[in-house]
This record gives sequence, C-alpha cells and structure tokens, in this order.
Amino acid sequence: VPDRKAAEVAGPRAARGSSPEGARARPTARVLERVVPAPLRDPSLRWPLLGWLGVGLAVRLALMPFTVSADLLAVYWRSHLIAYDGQVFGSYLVNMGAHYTHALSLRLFGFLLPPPDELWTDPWWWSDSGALSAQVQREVSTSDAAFQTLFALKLPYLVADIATGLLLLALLAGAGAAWHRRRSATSEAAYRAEMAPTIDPLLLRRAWAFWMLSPIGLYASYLFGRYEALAVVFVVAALLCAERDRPWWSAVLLGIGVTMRAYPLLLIPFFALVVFRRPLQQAAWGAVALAPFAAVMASNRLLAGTVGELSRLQDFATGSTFFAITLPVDAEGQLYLFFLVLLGVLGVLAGRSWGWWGSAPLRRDLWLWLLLVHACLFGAATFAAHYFMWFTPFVAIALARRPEWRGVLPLHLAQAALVLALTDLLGGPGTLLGLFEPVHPELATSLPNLREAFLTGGGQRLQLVGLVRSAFTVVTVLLVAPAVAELAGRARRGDRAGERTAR
Amino acid sequence: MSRWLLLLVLAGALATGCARLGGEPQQPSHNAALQVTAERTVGQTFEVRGSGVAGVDLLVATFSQPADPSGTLEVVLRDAVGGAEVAVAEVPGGDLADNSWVAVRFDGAQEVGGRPAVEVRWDGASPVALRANVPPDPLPPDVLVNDPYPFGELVLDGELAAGDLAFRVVGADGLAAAPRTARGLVGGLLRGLAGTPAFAVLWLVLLSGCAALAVVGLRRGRRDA
Repeated sequence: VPDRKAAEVAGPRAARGSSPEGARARPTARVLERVVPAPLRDPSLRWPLLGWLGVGLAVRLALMPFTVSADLLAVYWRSHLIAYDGQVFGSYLVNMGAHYTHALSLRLFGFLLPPPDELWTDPWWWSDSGALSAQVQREVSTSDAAFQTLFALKLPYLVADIATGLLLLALLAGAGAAWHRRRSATSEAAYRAEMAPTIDPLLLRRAWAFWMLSPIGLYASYLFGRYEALAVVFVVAALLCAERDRPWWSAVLLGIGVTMRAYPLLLIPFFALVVFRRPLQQAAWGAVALAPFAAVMASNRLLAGTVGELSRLQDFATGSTFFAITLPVDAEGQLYLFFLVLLGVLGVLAGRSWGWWGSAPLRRDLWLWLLLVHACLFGAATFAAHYFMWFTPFVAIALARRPEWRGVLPLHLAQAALVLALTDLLGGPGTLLGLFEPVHPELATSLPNLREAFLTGGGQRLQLVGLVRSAFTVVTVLLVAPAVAELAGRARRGDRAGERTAR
Repeated sequence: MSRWLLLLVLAGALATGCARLGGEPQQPSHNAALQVTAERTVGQTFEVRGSGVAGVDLLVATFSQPADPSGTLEVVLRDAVGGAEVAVAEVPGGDLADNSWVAVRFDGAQEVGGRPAVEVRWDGASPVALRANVPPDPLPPDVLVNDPYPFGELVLDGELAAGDLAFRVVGADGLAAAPRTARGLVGGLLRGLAGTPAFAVLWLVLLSGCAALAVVGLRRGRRDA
C-alpha cells in the first residue's frame, strides 16, 4: 500500500522517469502495458503463468496437425472463394465474419499450404454432402502435406484461443484495470498493491491453467477444428469492456462476435440490461451491438443478392436445436424448454434493471448472468460438442472469482466427459477418435467408439443417449446453482453501493 | 490430482467399448436404399485386415413396415465377386428393423484373404433394402462420383457397380489386434512427418520450445512460491 500511495503521490512524470532512456522506452512500455495483461508483468506470477502457457501450447501443437473434420474443410472451402476468387458462396452466407477471417488466414498462412487449386478442388461435396464429404475428407487426409495443411488451417483458432486466455487474465486481475488506466503506476509494487485485495494469485493461476487445458476448448479448436474460438474471444472481450466501464466498445465487440457465430445474438439483451438502466440507452446499446451483423447482411445483399442467416431461418436445421427439448401439453402446441427458461431469466433481469423488483444488476455480476444464460442454452437445448466451448470462459471466471463454489471444476469435467460421450454415441467414430484419420485412415476409424459399440443394439443406444443427456442437464444445474442462489440473494438484500458503482 | 485422474479414466471408459480394433473396413454413409429380393442380390467387396472375418453389419430399410417375420435375409461370404462360397449366415425377418443396423455373424471366424465379397438376398413377402452410398443416375456433370470406401465396390446381381454399401466388417482378432493398431498409428504418424521434413523440423522445434517453457516456467514458479 505505501508503494501504491507513493506512485499516486509522485504522479505520472516521476513514475515514467526523466532520463532520456526512460523517455525513449516509454512508447514500448506503453504498448506492452496495453497488450500484455497485468498478471504477466508481475514477477511473482509471470513464470508460473508462462509455465502453464508452455503446457497449453505444447498440447495444442501436439494435436493440431493430426486431426480433420468435414466442418473444418467446409468452412475453408467456402472461404477460399473469398480469398482467391473474390466471391462469396451464395448458398451458404452464414457466419460471414468468420468466413472473412478464414479467408484472411488463407492469405496469411498460405505459404504453409499446398497450391489452392490442389487443396480446394472443384467439384466439392456440395451436391450431396452426407454421401460425399467422407471421401473428400479422406483425399485431404491422405495427401502428402496433410499434417502441414491441417496445422496451418488451425492457426487462426490458436490465435483466438490464446487471445481469449489473455483477455481472461486481464478480466480476472480486475483491480489491474484501475492501475492500467492510471499510467503512472508502472512499479510492480504499485501493481501488487492494486491487485492483491482483488484476487488470490493462486486462483488466477488456476483459471489460466484451466484455460490452457480445457478439454472442450482443446476438442473444439484442435481436434474437431471448429471456429468457436473466433466468437468466444469477442464475447470475452465484450465482457471485459463492460466490466471496465467501456460499454460502447463492449457493444461493438459483441456485435463482431455475432458475425463470427450468430449465437451471441442471444446475449445482447442480457448485456444491455446490465450495462445500462434506462431503456433508451439499452436500446441504443442493442442497436450498436447489432450494427456489425446488419453490415454483414447488407454486404451479403450486395455481393450475392440475399441477406444470409435471415433468409435461412425457415429451413435452418441448426435453429431447431433450440426447439428440440419440449414439455408436452394436452392440447395443440408444446412448451419449448429453452425459450421458457431463457425468457424467464431475461424477465427477471429486465424487472431488476428497470426497477420493478429487487436491486439493480451490477456490471461486476454480468458474468454471472452470462453463466446462467449459457447454462440455460446447454441444459435446455440440443447442441454439438464443439458449441460447448462457449461455456468454458465462464467456468474459468468462476474458478478464479468464486473459490467457495467448490464443485465447479469436477462438475465441469463431468460435463465435458458427458458431452464427449454424447458426441461419440451420436456421431462416432468420425467425431472423436476417428478425427485422427490423417494419421492412419483405416485404423483411425476403428478406434473404440460408443456409437459402434451400440450399433446393432437396437434401442439401447438411444436409451443411453437419453441417460447421458439427462445426466448432463443435472450436472449443469448443479454447477450453476450457486450462481442462481447468489443472484437471488443479492436481489433480496439489495446492493446500493454496487448499484452506484454500476451507474 | 486423484479426482482429475478418476475423471480421465471415466472419460476413457465412456469412450471405449468397441472391439473392432484391427482396422476392419467400415463405411457408414448412405444416400439410397437398394431393394433386395430372392432374385436381386446386393453386395460389397472389401479388403480383409487381420486374420479373418467373423461377420458383417448391414444397415437395413424395411420401408416403415415390419419385415415379414417368416422371411429370411441370407448373407453369403465369397472369396471374390462370383467366387467360391466361404460361409453363409441367415437372419430371420423378425430381427430386422427399419433403418437399423443388423448384426450378421458367420459360424466362427472365416479365413479369407485378398478381396472377398458379401452377397445379400431376401426371401420374404415384405420389401427389404440395404442402405448404400451410390452416385445419382444419370450422373450430372460437375459432381463427384460416390466412392466412400476406396478398397472395394458395390456389387449388384454379381456385377461390380459404382458406390458402396453401408457396412462394417467384424474381424476375428478382437483385442489381440490392439498392438498392431497402435504400431500402425505410430507408423502413420512418423510416415506423415517424414513426408514433409521441413514442416516436421519446424513442428518439433516449436513443440520442444513449448515443452521447455513449461518446464522452466513451472519450476521457477514453484521455486519463487
């Protein structure tokens, strides 16, 4: 604390130093200060954090070259039209922000890839995806440069994934934000004085280690090769900005996230209701968050004569996952569990935000609301395993910020095991161990998988699917129960001081 | 740590359960149902991996009605297309369900090599078909020709045809094939890396650097703590 006070008293000029060397070093120091999260600049934390970074990178590198999925190749095939032909794939204009990112990646890492005409052959499998994708995938898997190609194709996911980890570090070292803004406090003692009351370094390390070894994160980005990390990084960045009192940047970043994967659309009302109180401001925030998506729709219209996602709503199979779990009604129509739960949570939050009941939600609790929304999403809808990566940043935050929720890690690992088991039951072998096709096409598909174990077992497989899905929902409810209790308790008690802070 | 290990073991156990470890052929994709009758046979050639063939699993369609329970699905294993009969297995119609895999097992493991074939016929009152992955007829220009299993072909009435059945072969080796599979996977990994030596070197350097960072970082962190 004395060091902190000294830094505050001395002011910016003293802290920056007055020597010519100090003045010359200043721009670099400023850049580092902005780019590198505060914990990585703390000598007592730097090495263990770098150690876990090494572990995480080694695991990622060990997986990247050796697995393939049809999803990975499909998004890149569509993106290669943008990168090399300057066209968009008119019949699938979905998640276009992600497609532009993939196109950029093809250009950036093209030196690691075979010539485009060799890799992205035409005709592709679009005439009958279900029947033809396996043989096209096999051609890529058995090509001479398969490992190098797959490594290069996953590089943007690595960048987004590690960036998300760094954002989580910045988010969790919350008090570092105040320090960050007060550029005078460049001494490490000042940093520690700011950070120490906020978070135990051990918890920070735990969250970082979790991110480095998150089973679902590794599966989604490096085994299955899906671009979930491109959306997750923007959701976490939006949360960081919201917590750091930069609500409009938060809106822009969440909006970009929507162009990567449409799912953050669901999060927009939750962000808006927490970061602002007045309905007009909330509507404005929502409009800003929707602007990037609207821009993409407009560009789709210009380039291909159709708006993309909106025009596919009526036949978009993925959307049906939200309607998959229903409660029967003894009349026409049924209750959709996901919308029931989601609208319920949204209603409670809206009532608190508009002062109808309870205390106003706090920005520092936004992550709790988001944890709850994601739990609703995965507990009350059907989904593919890689989607579950959307949930993982909130597990990392809970590990650091709520050590008293002792069951978070084991419950999340149980979730991960159940999600992967479900994937193997429904899609194996090509969705789990069969992803290692490039290592040995024949042998990889014969690695043990649950789907084959029950292939000729009649209804046993479906019964097991039901059991696993039920167990997953129970585990998810148990994991978020403390968050619900905390939010409910806070609503009853009120939090006037926090309310002032949030305003 | 013990909790982590327990969960890892549980996850491993959940993901295990199949004894088809020897790289025996399998092809699950399909886009058509090929009707079989007593006169019209449908089959598939394949390459044998391991020491023999214990059976074959097929994906059956009964067109939304129960298969004739007095009917019989006959599966003949031949040493080649139109070759000598090696083994025959029969499945009663009552065991067939629409869009379900049916297990066909021969009487013990059959020693066949090269490229044998299975040939299926149905003798019953209700219609029965086998799911298969076949090209459209006529084949439009600018589309790929379906060939999901490159080591064998569909057989229609004893003649090779484009496409493949949805099928999997059950080998005779079971868990005994596991070491061979492991060796094959390691060999495949090394061959793949050797095929692109510059990438292999770059990848190994990066991997070693990350491993070194992990060791140094965690050691220094423990020492500082």
